[in-house]
Amino acid sequence: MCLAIPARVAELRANDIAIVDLGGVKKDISLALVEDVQVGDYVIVHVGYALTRLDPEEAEKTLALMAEAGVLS
Amino acid sequence: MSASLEGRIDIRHAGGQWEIRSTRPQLAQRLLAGRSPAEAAELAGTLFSLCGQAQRAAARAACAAALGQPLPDLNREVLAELAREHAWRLVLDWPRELGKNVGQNPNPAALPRLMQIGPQPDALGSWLEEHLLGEPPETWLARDWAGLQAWISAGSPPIATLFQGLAEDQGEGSPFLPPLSALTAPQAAALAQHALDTPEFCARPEWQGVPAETGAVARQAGHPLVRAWIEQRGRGIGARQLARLVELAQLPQRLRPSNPAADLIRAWTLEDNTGLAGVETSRGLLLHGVRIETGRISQYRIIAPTEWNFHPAGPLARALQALPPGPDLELRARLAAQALDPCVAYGIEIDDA
Repeated sequence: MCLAIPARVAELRANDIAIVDLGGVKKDISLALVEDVQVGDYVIVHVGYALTRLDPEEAEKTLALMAEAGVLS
Repeated sequence: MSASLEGRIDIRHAGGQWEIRSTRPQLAQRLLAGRSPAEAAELAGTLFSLCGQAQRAAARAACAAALGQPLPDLNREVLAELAREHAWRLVLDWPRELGKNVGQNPNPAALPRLMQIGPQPDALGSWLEEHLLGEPPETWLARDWAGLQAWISAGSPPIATLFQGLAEDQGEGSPFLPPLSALTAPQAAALAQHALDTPEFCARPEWQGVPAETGAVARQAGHPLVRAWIEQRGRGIGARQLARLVELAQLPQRLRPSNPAADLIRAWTLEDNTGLAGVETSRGLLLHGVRIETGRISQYRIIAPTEWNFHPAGPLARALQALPPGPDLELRARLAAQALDPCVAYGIEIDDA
């Protein structure tokens, strides 16, 4: 039941690695499972892999919902 | 902040004792109370990443039951999600933990294709043949115990080698949670009552007063290959991974339109505008309990499979207690946890100084 918190791709590195920003925390993740990810895109991350790419509008909506529900402060 | 929101599971060995601590928050009430049933289904699907389809289906079914409506048709994406999650464990996570010891590498390159397949039975069957079984799923499923042994010792495809040498005595283990198809209405009512009355029950659920195991092995324990494995090799990592593989191999057949997934989702209408729904997911039984008053949700509880399997005295605790001491204790503990597959990050600390 892990929460699908959208993570913003902050930087692309070699070998399908990206640095994402998850609510201010920077993390290394693998992009091996998703295609065509650009800086500024949002992805859902699970144990070090980006699982899905979200369009930014959808991601902003999810983040707003989580903030509204008091999950993100 | 984000990591702490998801929570995590910390597994620690100190002074000869294992301790399992979960910091997973119970968010259902906070997120879903006050919403309409339609909003709740949408939110449940959006908020939970790994099993969003199952969460959405459970929310829809629980709300329909609370309103006295019939069970909505199951979206076949729930089955596709089940296939993806099972495959992920077998292709990526298990080889990542065990593989380096037996010369196998995880194969992430196989997964993007699987993510695109969705609920297409033929495409899933071909994918399974190519990446996991080395033969069509129905051929593999028709193997008997000797046939399975031959497949394992031939070691091709690579996943077969991971089953070599897995024999563990885990004693009794935790009892299996009954599969959804076997739950009776009074049992469902009792589970919903516990969950709604006692939020802590959702964090540490028990079945008939004791922790229980849920997941592929609980559902497939009666399958001839899984039953034979449990009899011959015990109820450990091998049994859990084999049950996962058996269930995955059955999914192309279950995805055929003539084959509705009746055993995958159920819902019960209970007293006081309350509904309970269960969905069988990769990690085990997912339960949603909801009470609706004048069109709005007043109470919402989720009992997720991770809470059963990582209960401080549950299946993982039993598996850990059975591990022999030694230098590879941490690896063995990691494999035991991976076989039960928590939906959040976990850490293992051996503090035997």
